[in-house]
Amino acid sequence: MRSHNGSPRIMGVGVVGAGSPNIATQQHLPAIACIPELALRAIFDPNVDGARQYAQECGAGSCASFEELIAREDIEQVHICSPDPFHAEQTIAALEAGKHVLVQKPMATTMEDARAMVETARRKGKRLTICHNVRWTPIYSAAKSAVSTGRIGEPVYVRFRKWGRHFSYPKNSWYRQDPDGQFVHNGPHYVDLACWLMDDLPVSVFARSMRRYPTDDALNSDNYVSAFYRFARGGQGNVELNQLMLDPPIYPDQSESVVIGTEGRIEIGGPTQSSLQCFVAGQVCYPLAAPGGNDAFVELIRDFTEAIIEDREPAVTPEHALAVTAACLGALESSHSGEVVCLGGGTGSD
Amino acid sequence: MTDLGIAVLGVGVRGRHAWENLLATHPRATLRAICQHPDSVPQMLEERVGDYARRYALEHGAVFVDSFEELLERDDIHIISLMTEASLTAPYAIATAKAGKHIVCDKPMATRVADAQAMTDAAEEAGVETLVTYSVRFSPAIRHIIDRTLAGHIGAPLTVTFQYCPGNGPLVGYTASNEYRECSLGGELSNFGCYAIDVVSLIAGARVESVFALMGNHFYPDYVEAGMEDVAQVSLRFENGVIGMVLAGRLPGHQNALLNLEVTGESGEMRATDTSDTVLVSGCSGGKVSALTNPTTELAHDFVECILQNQPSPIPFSVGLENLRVLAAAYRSAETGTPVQIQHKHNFYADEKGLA
Repeated sequence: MRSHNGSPRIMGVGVVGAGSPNIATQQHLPAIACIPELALRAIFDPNVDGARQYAQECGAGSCASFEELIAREDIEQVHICSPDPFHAEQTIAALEAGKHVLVQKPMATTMEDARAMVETARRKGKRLTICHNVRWTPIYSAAKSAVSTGRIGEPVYVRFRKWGRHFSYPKNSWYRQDPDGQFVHNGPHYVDLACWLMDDLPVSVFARSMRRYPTDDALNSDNYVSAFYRFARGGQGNVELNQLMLDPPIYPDQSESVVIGTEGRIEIGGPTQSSLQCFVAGQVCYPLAAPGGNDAFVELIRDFTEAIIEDREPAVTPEHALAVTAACLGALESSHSGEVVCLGGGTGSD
Repeated sequence: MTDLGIAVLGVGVRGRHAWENLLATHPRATLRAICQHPDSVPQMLEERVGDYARRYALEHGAVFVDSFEELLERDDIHIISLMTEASLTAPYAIATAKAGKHIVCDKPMATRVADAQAMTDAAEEAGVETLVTYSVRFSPAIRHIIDRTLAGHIGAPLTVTFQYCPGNGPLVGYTASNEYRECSLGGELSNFGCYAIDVVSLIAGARVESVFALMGNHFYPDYVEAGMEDVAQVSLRFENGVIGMVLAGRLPGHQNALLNLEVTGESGEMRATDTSDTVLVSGCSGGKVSALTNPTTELAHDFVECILQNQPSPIPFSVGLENLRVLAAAYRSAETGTPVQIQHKHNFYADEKGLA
């Protein structure tokens, strides 16, 4: 990556929420280290000792406060990896401080906060993206390529299913008490994939949910959600999160998807199939090659960095992430009210 | 007991299946009579008009009977297969029951819940056995999952999902039409989705209390013109809390059927995919099931055996009635864009669509 005048450019990065083994320390820090054009400048976490240790391992500094980190002039890009309730406030503060921000999902826990984040980014002229990294995994990139090149015609139906058991959060973890639960915390991944593969956004959602925890290893939220989406161009989708299978406790997390088009379908994942298969009229099926590729986090962060340098939209725009957030929160609302929830919606092309 | 005599009313109606021949493959059943109903919808018969029914009788070694009333009077007929259009079946079924004959109906059994209720009541009053031909529940892998779930191998069921989308569309020689839609209740939800609803309901073990549906017509221009859906997804909540999901449709071109049955229970999960001889069981011992028999033949023989042994039918009209309630609710939901609650009450005569 080079700056506008062609000279090599090193962009300083600050990471918030990297004080213990988590998504920041296990994914963001290693990914940043893989991109030569980025330099990790500082880390902040309320666990000051943990942040200092990770910072030392990365050859970076640690900050005593969040405010100190976003005030540093050698930091241009900030990654917000704190717990969900802090995403909106910290993102807005970092944007107001003149930083470009990459925030973990969910971008916010309320639509009001999510909209404020988008508005702030636009007003400040700063880039904002949300960590929908799963679309960069090779298998989904290959599936998207097949859809985009018209192999199955126009996509009209998508289903994403995630099943297994919930993450073994520590007993005092905020995520055990989170009333919105996993469909809001991790659901943005699934809904983003569905929307991305359909190249469309949902305009309405109807959802059902249930909660069953046979032991005291429980979350304070529903562990089954099935959401039906109607998309703007008339297609349909189903996103299902099924974490009811708790006994026996050892159960590998799995996911699978299917995209049905007007001329064929693509099946991704699943326990009995090869990873990626395409069924097209006139051909029974053939496997699609899922090329090896860089780590999804590396690709996402690289895309965001290039978007900043080239002054273009990142692959995941804040408006797209806003729609995904609405779709997840809307599903939650629908599952509680028993009614259809209207969403903003609009065409994809993200 | 003497062998059972089989008769059929309605031959060659598009979308109806020759169950009379399946029944007659049982060693103690014989196809004896063929009859055509005069009010058959021409668009449903397509080219099978004129003396088609007489030739059909000759071809199958049976007698052609001029009138339905004559068919009902014959002492050598014990089971009548009603392969009429679903919209026309009710009066024939009621008359058949009153004549003391057992009844086989193709799916859906009617297009109005009130008619299905009347058929069910007539059969129960007459004490005749009935069968609605939801044969998919007899597919080997599906049946394996049903049997193991009902036996409690994965604990009580919590969620059931059935994606049932055959391929090879559009159907050769078939054109969707308003007449077809009106005769059959709808498009592929009525055609294929009813099988999925039957399996999901059987596994859930309770009645449906809430339905939400999304439908679309994306694949075939004639479906668009006829207002018929070629794909539908339905969300169900059962009275016992089980959540069900059905995806039904006819996929275009020579692609494999999309067939997935997933059942999550309290202590395990089972699933069958379009490799129909394999069932994956998680949480308890797994199983691989070999394809054994043709499910439609097995269902037909089971029904004959039930009559011979004086046992209850495996899929009586009451099951078809519940299925039709769900279908009707699904079409209402898709039309209004809102979920529909099903209130189960006995008498539907007052409400034309039989919905609360």
